[in-house]
Amino acid sequence: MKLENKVTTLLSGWNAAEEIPGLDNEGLALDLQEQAKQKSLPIKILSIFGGLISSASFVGFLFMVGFFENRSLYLPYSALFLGLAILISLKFKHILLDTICVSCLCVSYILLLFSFEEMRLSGLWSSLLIFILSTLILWIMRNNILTFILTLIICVSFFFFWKELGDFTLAQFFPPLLGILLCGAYLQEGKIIAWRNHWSNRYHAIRSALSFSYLGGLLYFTTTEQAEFMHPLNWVVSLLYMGLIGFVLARVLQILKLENKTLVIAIYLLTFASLAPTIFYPAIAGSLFLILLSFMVNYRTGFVLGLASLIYAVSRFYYDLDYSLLTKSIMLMASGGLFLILYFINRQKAPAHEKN
Amino acid sequence: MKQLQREDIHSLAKHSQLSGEQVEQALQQHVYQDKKSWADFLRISLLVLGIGFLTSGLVFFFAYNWADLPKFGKLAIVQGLLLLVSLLAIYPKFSTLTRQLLLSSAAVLVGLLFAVFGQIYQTGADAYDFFLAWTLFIVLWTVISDFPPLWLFFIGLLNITFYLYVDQVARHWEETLVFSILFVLNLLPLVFAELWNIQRRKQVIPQYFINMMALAALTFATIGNLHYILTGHTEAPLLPGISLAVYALGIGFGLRTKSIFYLASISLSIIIITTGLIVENIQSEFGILLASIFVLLSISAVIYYILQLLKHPGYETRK
Repeated sequence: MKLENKVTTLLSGWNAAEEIPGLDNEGLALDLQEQAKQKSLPIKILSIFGGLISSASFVGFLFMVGFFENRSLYLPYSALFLGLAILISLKFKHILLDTICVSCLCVSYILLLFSFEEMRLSGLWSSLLIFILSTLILWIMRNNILTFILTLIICVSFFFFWKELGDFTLAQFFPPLLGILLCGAYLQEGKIIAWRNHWSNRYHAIRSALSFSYLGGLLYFTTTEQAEFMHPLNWVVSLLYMGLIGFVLARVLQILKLENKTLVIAIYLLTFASLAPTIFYPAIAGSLFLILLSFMVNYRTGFVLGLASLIYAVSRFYYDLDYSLLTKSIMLMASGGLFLILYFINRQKAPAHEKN
Repeated sequence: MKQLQREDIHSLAKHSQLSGEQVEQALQQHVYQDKKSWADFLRISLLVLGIGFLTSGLVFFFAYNWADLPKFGKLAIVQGLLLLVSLLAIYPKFSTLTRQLLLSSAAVLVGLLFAVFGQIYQTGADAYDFFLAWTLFIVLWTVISDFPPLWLFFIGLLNITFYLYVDQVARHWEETLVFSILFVLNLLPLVFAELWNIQRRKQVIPQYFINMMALAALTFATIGNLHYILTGHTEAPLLPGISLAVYALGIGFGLRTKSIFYLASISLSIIIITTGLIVENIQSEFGILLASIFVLLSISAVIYYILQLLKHPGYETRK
């Protein structure tokens, strides 16, 4: 009875004029029951943390008993732990076993890296092999937490593969390309969910992992060693981000139903004009893109990541600028003044109920 | 009519033949941001960016202009700005959020004022004196602001003040004692916030503030207990006892309020501390292996317990 009530309550929110074709009430009721478990963030964090601590301790144990002295065993044992992780996740679809799966996967990859080191494989080949292996496992795996970790590994390994291939100049195009992928993932949510296959079941995990990977790629180039101002073609990267922002803006303007073409053009011009001074520092435009995209689809994790990234990127931008403190202070105050002027203009134009 | 959540729409799509367009439409209607949300977002963003950039610009200006400005000029400008922003913060025609942001900005400028004062007069005071004065002088504003980000800023200053005091004055204090005090320092606002919400019978103090204070308190308790375990001696022998009592109360409170957050985070802290205990007491390969197995089993047990709790109505993760 309680399950029926849940289904009835949910269906009451659906548009009554529109029938839901092929509705499976029983399956829906069971899914609603599982929802609380699936969306529980503490459970996911516990699983990942537990898996990482446990695997780190286990690897420490292996180190202490001299396991790593026999280097020829790295690859077979890596395959063993990987097989174990895949077997457990496919055979026993229970959230309780997630920690064990994460543990096995982490140990497997650590041993794999040791084996590559032993074989003296270059960074290029190591990252390519890890990328291919992780992609294959992702096709097989159905577990959400492992999907998250594997997607992260795929993005990181692909990034390092690209970096090894063509130095930083080429590698800095990875984050904007990931941004395009992210755009597709965020904005095609409905279509992906309607596929009703294992990809749509793992949509949340893949989207979260892509968001974290995008953020990591974005901020990688703001660290001192990779300071953004030093890279050639970083202005091209900024233009790519601005293009993405323009695309998102177009969708936002559709939602706002703005018909005044002058206003629309003014919004585009203002946006790009305010980003123009940061053209040699792509992280700012990249962060803003993530914020706008996440806000549009009401994805809180992406929004918080984007916000944290923007604060950091703006701070680094002013820190790395090779101008005097006076010039920087004038730039900051001018920017602040401009934003406040826009705020007051917006307030004047807003309807009365929006002013508070 | 129930407003559908994202998960509800995903469940409906999974167990029906809804097309991609229908799912997309449902998401647009129930989940994605509408025109009003974008208007609010734009308004708040412009305000925060404007005040944030202006305040930062001022800080940079004073960082640069030291040598050239006369002493009176420096102090007059900063105090004038502080006065102006404070007065704007009580201007009734501004919205509540605007006034709260201006008050926060004024709180930052208090720090700037003390920095200017310290630079001019070279008082020779320790850095902790600066942060202590800054903290004390914004207490009243923090209390009346009703603005959680300012509360967080204030508590951050408190922690920094204490840390610098230990670093510069109380160097003989042992780490466990330091972390014990930090634990209590961050626990008190948490307890106050929860009691206040209970007393008012609604979520007056937002959950993100409570969660951040809980995480800070747990972090310091965990590190303090681990340090006690690893060094074997301490000037704060009561820390394990106090931690245990607080953890027990926290778990009881979590069960009573049907909140998974406390149960999960306190459990994780206990597991980390116990793992440290195992590793320290069994200093061999077997100890490490036991720690690994213990973490695996205990995390699984906690997850199992939480799953059992989630079967009961009313249990959900606090947002």
